[in-house]
Amino acid sequence: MTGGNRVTVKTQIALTINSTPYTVDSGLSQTLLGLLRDDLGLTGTKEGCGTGDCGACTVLLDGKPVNACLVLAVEASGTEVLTVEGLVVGGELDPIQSAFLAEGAVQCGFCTAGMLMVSKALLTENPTPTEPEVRQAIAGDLCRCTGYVRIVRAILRASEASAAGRGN
Amino acid sequence: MTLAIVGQPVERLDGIDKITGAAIYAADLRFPGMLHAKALRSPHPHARIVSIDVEEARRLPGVIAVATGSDHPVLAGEAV
Amino acid sequence: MTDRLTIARYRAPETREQLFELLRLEGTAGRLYAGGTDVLVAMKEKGLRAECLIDVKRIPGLSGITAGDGRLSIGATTTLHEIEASPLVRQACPALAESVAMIGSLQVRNRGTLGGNLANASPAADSTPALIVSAAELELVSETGARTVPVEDFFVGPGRSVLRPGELLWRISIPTTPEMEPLRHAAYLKFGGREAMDIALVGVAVSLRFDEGGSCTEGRVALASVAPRPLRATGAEAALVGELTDERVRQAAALAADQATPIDDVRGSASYRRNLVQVLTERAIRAAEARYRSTPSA
Repeated sequence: MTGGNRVTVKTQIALTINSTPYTVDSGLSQTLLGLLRDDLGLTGTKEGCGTGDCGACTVLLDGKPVNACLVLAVEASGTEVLTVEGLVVGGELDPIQSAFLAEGAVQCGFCTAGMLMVSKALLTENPTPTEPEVRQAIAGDLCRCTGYVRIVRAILRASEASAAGRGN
Repeated sequence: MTLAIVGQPVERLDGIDKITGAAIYAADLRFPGMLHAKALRSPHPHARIVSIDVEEARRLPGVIAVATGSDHPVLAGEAV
Repeated sequence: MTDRLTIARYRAPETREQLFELLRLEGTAGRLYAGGTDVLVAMKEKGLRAECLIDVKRIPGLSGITAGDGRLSIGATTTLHEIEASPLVRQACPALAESVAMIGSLQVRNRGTLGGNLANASPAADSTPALIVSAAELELVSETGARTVPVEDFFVGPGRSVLRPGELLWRISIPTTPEMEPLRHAAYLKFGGREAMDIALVGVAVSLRFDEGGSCTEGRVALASVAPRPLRATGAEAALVGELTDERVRQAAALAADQATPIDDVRGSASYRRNLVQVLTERAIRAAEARYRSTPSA
C-alpha cells in the first residue's frame, strides 16, 4: 500500500489458496482480503465495506465462511482458503455457479462472489436447506440489485440439482 | 410463434465472468507504477473558498502530487 | 480501508504462561485479540490503536464446550457459531444458543467469540441476557490466580467490564444441576429493526421456575440496550411469583419498563425503547412459559 507516515511491518505468510500453496510477503496490518486482492491479484473477492457488514468479501477459511476483511493475513497462515476463483474445478462450474447463471441471480455481480461462497458452505453442511435456512445463511450478504429472490431460488435450485445428481 | 429471444431465458453476456470472479471492476484494476488518488471535498456547502494550503500534504512521504482547482486551466462552468 | 490498521506487533502465545508474560511485557500497548470482529472494526472505524495484538486463539483449554459436574462450561474463545450449533448448549441452555444465533451474520459468528462479545461489554450484547437469567458465572484468570464473577456483575458501563489489566476472561459456566435445571425454561427476544445484522434496540430474556401446580415460583428478567449495562429487572422478577395471569404478566412487564433507563440515540428513542421493553417482556414471559409447558417432566 502507499506510504504515508507509517512504518509498515512486514511478515511472511504461508497458506493454501484454492488448493495451491502460497508464500507471501505481506504486512502485519494487512487483512486476508488485502492479501488476496493486493498481494496476490485475486480480485474475485470484493471489498464492499471493510467492516464485516456486507459479506462481499466472504471466503471459506478452513471450510467456514468468514469476512476476509476481518481476518488478518497473518492469522491465515497455515490455513486453507477457498475463494470464488477456486469454485471451478476441472474446467467445470460448481453447481451453485450454474444455478446462479440459470436463475438470473447475477446483476451487477458485486455481491456474487460472497453469495456463492456462503452458499457453497451452506450446501456442503446442509445439502437440503429449507428456504428459511437459506435466507438465514445469506443474512450477512447484502445485494443492492436483485432483491434476493433469484439468489434464494438459485441456491434452492443448486441443492435440488445436487440431490438429483446424488440420486443417480 | 416461438421467438428466439423474447420470452426465452437468456444468459447474461457477462454472467460467466461474474460468477467466476474474472469480471474486472474499477477497484480491481492494477497497473505497474499505479498511483492512488483521493478527492477531498469541502465540508461546507455554498462556501466561498478563500485559500487551500496544500504544503503539508505535499511534503508527506509517498505523496506524488496534490492538485486543486487552481491547477486546472478551466474553471467549472467556464466555457472553453 | 486496510491502511487504517497500524499493528506493529502480532503475537500468538501458545500457553497461559506465555500469555501472561506478554501481557506484563506489553502493558497498555497490548490488546487481547480473539475473533477480531470488534477489535478490527474499532481499529478501522473508531480510532482504536493497538500496537500489539495478542492473539489468544492458540491457548489450549480456552476454547470448547463441555458438560459435567453440574455445569455447562464454554471456553471464552469458543466461536458464536460453535455455540449456536452445539447440541450441548441447545440442550442445557437453549436461550443462549438462540441468542447468539441473532448476533451479526454467519460469517461474523464463525469468527466472533463469546468471550469477546462479553469482554466488549456492550450493553446491547445479545449473549448477556440469556446468560444472566441462566445464572451464568464468568471465570477470570490472571497470573496470580482466578476469580469467579456472576455475569450480571461483570459489566461496569458501556465498553467497560471488571477485567483488570493482565486479566483474561477464561470461561463461561452455566449451572445445570437438577436444582438449577428449571432455568432452561428461558427465552430471549430481540427487537433490532431488521431480521438480522442489527444491534438490539431492546433485548429481553426471561427464565421461569414453576411448581407442580403450574404457578411461577421464581422468575428472572434481564434487559439489554436499556441501561449502561445489562439490567436485571428485579421489580419485574418479584412480580412474577404466582399464577401467570395476563394481568400479572402485564404488570411484571410494566415494572421492567419502569426499571429500564434507556436513552435516545440514532437507533431509537427512549420512549420507544420503554414501549419495547413492555411488549418484549410480556412475550418473553409467555415464550419461557411455553418452553416449560412443552418440556416433559423429569
